[in-house]
Amino acid sequence: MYYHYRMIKKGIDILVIDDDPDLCQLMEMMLKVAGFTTTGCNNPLFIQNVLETIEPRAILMDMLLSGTDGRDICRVLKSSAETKHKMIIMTSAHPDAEKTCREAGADDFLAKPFDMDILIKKVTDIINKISS
Amino acid sequence: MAQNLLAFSEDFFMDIKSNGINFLSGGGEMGELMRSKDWRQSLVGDPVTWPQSLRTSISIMLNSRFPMFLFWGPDLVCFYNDAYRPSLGESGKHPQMLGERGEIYWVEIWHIIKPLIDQVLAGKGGTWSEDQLIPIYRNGTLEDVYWTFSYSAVNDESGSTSGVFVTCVETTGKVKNLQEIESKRNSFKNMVVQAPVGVVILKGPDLIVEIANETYLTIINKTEKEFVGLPLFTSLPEVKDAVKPITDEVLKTGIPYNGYEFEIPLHRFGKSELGYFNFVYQPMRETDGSISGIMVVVTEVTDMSLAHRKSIDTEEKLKIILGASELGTWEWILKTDTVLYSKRYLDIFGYDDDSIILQHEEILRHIHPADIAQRQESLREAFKTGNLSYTARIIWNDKTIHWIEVVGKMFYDETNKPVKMLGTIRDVTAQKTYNQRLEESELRFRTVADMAPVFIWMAGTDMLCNFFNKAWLHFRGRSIEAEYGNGWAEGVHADDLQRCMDIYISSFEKREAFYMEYRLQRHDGEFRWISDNGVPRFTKDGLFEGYIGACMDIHERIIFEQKLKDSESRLRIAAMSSELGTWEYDPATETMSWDSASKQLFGSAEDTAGSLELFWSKVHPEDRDAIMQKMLRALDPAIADNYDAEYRVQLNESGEQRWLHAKGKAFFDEKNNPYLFSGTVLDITEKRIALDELKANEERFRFLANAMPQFVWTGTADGNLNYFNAAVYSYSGLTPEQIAKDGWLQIVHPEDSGENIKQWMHSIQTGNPFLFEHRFKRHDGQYRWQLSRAVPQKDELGRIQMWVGTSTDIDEIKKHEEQKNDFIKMANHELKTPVTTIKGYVQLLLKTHGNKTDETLTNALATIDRQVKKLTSLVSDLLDITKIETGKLPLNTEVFSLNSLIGETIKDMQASTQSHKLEFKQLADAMVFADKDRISQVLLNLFTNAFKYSPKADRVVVEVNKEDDMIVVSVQDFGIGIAIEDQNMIFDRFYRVSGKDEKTYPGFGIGLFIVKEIILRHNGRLRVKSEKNKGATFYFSLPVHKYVLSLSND
Repeated sequence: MYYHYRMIKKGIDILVIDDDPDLCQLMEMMLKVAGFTTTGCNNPLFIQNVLETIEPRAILMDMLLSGTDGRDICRVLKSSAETKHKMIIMTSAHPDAEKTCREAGADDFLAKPFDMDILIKKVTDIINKISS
Repeated sequence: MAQNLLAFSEDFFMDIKSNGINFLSGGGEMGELMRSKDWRQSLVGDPVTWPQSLRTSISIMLNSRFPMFLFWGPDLVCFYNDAYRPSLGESGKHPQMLGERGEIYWVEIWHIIKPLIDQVLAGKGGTWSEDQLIPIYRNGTLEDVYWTFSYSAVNDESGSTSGVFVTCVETTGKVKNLQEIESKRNSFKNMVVQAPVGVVILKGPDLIVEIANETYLTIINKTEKEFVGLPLFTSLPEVKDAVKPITDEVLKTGIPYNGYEFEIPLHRFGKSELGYFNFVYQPMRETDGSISGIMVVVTEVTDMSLAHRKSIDTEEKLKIILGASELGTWEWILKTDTVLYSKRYLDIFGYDDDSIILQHEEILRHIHPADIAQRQESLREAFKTGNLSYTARIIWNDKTIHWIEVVGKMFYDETNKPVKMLGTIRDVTAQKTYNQRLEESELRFRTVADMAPVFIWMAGTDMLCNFFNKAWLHFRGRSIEAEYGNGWAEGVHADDLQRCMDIYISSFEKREAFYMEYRLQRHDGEFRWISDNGVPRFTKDGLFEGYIGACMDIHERIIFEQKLKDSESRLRIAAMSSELGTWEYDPATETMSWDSASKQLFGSAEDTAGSLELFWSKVHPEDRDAIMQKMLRALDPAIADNYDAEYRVQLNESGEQRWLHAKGKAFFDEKNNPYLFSGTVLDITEKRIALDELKANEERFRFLANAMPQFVWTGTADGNLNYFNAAVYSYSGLTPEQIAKDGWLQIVHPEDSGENIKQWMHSIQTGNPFLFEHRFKRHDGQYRWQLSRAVPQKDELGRIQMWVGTSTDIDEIKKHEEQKNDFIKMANHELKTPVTTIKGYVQLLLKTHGNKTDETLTNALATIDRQVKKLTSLVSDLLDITKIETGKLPLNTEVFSLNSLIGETIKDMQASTQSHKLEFKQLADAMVFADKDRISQVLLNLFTNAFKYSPKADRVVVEVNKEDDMIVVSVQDFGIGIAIEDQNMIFDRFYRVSGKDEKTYPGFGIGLFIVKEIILRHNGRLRVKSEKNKGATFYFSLPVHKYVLSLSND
């Protein structure tokens, strides 16, 4: 039963994780406009559950997630054999966040507030990298 | 290893014989000595009973080529080997020491080595000492001997320590060598210091005096302290005009300068006077050839020179006088080799006719061939000494021979080159012939000698006297028989006899003339000083015949000279200043005398005679003891201190006081009794009052400092803190002793102390004010933030005298600052989140609906986007401020073209604002190594300001220029401008120019602050040129990237 459940995980392009529902929704909308498939998650506690039902190609994740540090999640994902190949872009409005995010294993970083064009470009680059 | 040693040592024990130690073989002299000794009577007993450990130690020792020594047992019995022997020297210890108690034979060093032995015996381990001075008695004397040695334990079978093994090497030779090198190093300095000419070494362009010797200091009448270490012209400003051009020239050209009779004004011995000096200014070079200083060697010729000048003045007068006398005069002009002469000169050379003119060579023709060589020699001498004197024969035209005596003096020009010689000539033919005849007749001599007013004596080749003239015998009151031989010596004063005999005998042996002065007893028993001139006598054919001497009674002269010397020294002291009082104390009569200045100083009437009682009555009772002590020391011949005392005198009944400074010196006769104690006295009341005031000021300062809640401290020029106010002690809970002992750094937080020391040393070295924030530990252990500032106090020459510092508790401020920074950081983050969302939606909407024809929507969205951008940059600016303040503004540097960055930034700016046209004048371009985003931020800030403050204008000019290694960007607007008085402040944080108009402009007042910080971080410069209502031009410059610069030049 369990194995069967895993077998039918839904494949999508981007999992967007941000504790601000508005922002989470905005980023999803922007990505969808650009033609990506997305799933949103604004409660870090459910990330594990979400990852059991869907199979994203890349993850766009905020650094500070109201109670959970996105960098810790990043580290966990990057250290697990199953998920370490997942590309992760981290975002933050926090000054000096880029350095620590990259140290935690993030493949790219997007500073808030951001330009829509830059968001699209970064995600496109990452997805292209996976494809090639 | 130990096993092997033991087995090896066993070889030396063979069969036991009569004295129990014949088993021991080898070991050289000491082995022999040990075998021959009867050990049964010794402290260690029969060797049969010796423990194995002792036997082993001895056998190792005896067969070692290293010097070794063994102390054994409770008596510390001595054993040593052949190698050790030389250290004991030729006599003193060896061989008696063997087998005896160490304490007896090492008595001179027992206090040094006993503790070492005890340490080893107590099981506290061995010792190791290098190049230790342990003087030992050897070669019949106590010698300074240096040793490198170790003491180690010898354990017996039971495992306890029963002996101390000493291995040592004498390193006296090595240490002595080192000391010799050291002394050679000092010898140059000594040479300079002791030289009989004045030597001073000046270093650097400021001519700092590095060394000045005694002679030099005497010439300028200054102490070493007043002179050495200071720039020359600071201590001798009066010589600057005369000397500076010379020193400049020497430093510039490196050519030594010689000065002769150079006139230099000097303030010395209390007055201004002209001194004359011969000197050499010798440049001193470093190994690289650069000139680092000047060595001056100087001799004073003031007296000589004045005499010389006087003689020139009186030259004319002299000529007149000589013209009237028997003397002929002559003047030899060296340049033209012409001789001018008087009429008498011609007479002496046998010419009757006055009108004859003789050339120099004609005169020379008259010189007797046998005397030419002697005359030449005299002339050579004259060119050296300036004085000519000789006698010679001349042959007249009628072939008759005449004697002349020539005396001359050289004259020099201002460069000290001889120009002419002036002299006299005298016909001495009559005297010469008379003298000759005198020599021939012994009898004639005696008659003459007897009649002479001088005492004459003669001695034969055997040194014994064989003649005394009547004058001598009359003076002595003795018969010639009594004086014959060495009888005369009975009359010479006992104190002078040995000295006279030494001179007499040594001169006699060398056949040299001698001169001596001694006391000779007169017939009435009085000893009188006489002078004695002795010359050797030779027969015509050069055979030594003995001596002849002439004596004169010079008693009066000697006594006079003695008195003169004493009075001279008194005079000298007195002459030091006319304001000085002089005093004299005669120890024999215990009388005190004062000159009128002294009387005035002591407040006694002119007509009162000074006395010791009067003196003591005037002196303040509290000062009497100290004066007495000092006087006793001055009058004690064994101490003979210079008397130097400061004391108070009471001038009158009303208690008016005066401070006096007395100096003096006692003079001792040959029996070491003081016969005069004299000196000077000076009014120093004002100085003392000033000193007291200074003290009072200092008291006030300390009181003030102690009353302050801030910490106040002072430091020496080299950075050692030497004063802390009371607040420091009450805050830290430490006592002054604790701070003095462990230093003030003990209260600084360990994390801050490293940087603290670095910053402090930097200030000490550069003289820049010290400003530092650090934490100090309070008595309860809490660290609190302090802001410390220190500024140097400089003297009039700009040299740092001391540092005065304060520390203020800024813990609260610091905490508030931190809270503020934390708050801004948080606010920044929190503000950004909604901004991100707004911005995102606007962009999304622009993307999805912006290309539609609904212009209202498109414009609205564009406006929101612009405003959000503005808000974002405001939020970023606030954050930048905290970063700048905490020193954490990061720079992501890269190499880029400044012009293309400016171009892009102009484009961005114009995209959002079209109110002004940005005109870009690219007069230069360069690659820079900088943070692209930050420079762009600088430009945007400047553009925004330019636009904002020139609402009526429609253009802003941007210009790029190159100045040396800097690229300069200017942003010029044509707006309201900035008043001069505001221009300094506009770069400060939150500063906004106040004024009716200015207030209407929006802004935080942080833009230019950030601009300034960014430019400074890039080692650039920022300035503004503006006038009220005339627009403003902001300039910033950045260093041109060197590597790229050189490439682009290729």
